[in-house]
Amino acid sequence: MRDGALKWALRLLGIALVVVPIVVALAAKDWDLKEAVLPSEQELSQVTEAVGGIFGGGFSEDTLSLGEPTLSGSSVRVQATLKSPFQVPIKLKEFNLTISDQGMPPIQLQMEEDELEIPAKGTAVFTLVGAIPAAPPSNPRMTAVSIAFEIYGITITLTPDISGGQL
Amino acid sequence: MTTNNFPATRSMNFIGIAAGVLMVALPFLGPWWMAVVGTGAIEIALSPFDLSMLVFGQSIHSDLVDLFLLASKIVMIIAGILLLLGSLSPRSWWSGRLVRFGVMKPFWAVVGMVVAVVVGAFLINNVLPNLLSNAIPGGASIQITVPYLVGSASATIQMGSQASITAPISLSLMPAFWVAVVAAVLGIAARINHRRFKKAEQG
Repeated sequence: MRDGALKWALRLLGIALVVVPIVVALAAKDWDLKEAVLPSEQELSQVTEAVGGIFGGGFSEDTLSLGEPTLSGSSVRVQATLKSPFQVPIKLKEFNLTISDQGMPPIQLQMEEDELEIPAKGTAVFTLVGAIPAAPPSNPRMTAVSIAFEIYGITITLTPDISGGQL
Repeated sequence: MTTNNFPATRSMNFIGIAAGVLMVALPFLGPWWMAVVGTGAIEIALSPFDLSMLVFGQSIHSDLVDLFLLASKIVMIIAGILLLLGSLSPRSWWSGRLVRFGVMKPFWAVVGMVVAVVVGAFLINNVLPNLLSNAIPGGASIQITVPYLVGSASATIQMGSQASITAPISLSLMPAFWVAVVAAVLGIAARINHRRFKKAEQG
């Protein structure tokens, strides 16, 4: 008798600890199952804001500016200034630029530095280097850009379409 | 004098006591398993008693899941206390019931968590890429290879020819998981040991 009572008491305890949380969660959310199971709208909008905040206003015409190219033998060096639009520190890992001119092979410029830490909304100055053909281009145009940067350990590589851009 | 090679003078199930103490401690030892995407972009800390999800520092939670995990915490503590009581007095009429109520809970908690993580990894590897590629405007090629329990891998999202995102993923089992495994083994041993008490008593 007493053993049976204990057996049932323990069974009911186990059942109660499963059923009570369901009832309490549903009651707290006006019996709306979706509200009880899913994160609140407020939390989701906070995440959306956090992600949007990281990316700031995104890239614009002011993001990148290039200095005057310096020729030295068969190589060219260009100082580049990148204004980070991001609200968090980023690591610039790659920056490649392709310059083309009519009737000439394209010139590839690469970031000289291995990688650069840029603080939130900060500015980084780095050098692009590349080899040029015997005759320098007369009407150089930026035809391709490739940028790789790291935010929160996630690497984002962008190759925007900029064909026709005047250097 | 012994009965069934079991010392009649022994009055406590020490293995059960050890398992009970570990069970009471388990809910307070922190996460059993952690997943990190990038360096803190997404962090998930999981145990049968707690779930913490941070996306870019913002926490996300579900009321129902939180209450279930709280109940799971309470069940484990109660089960540990009952196992302790049953093991302190293994010859009393109620000890068998108390021991049986709690003794397998750490084992099922370990099994349940491993199954949940493996099923989650399977769904992320096989279902999530299709869902995401349909959700991204213009479509995207998504490759996610999440390890099934521990390890490192990376997820790549290729959006056309203009953008790609590569995120390292790291999964690890925490020390609390191994304490739970020890508690599970001790729990099984305590159950076997308790039967020997009963046999000794009947003998």
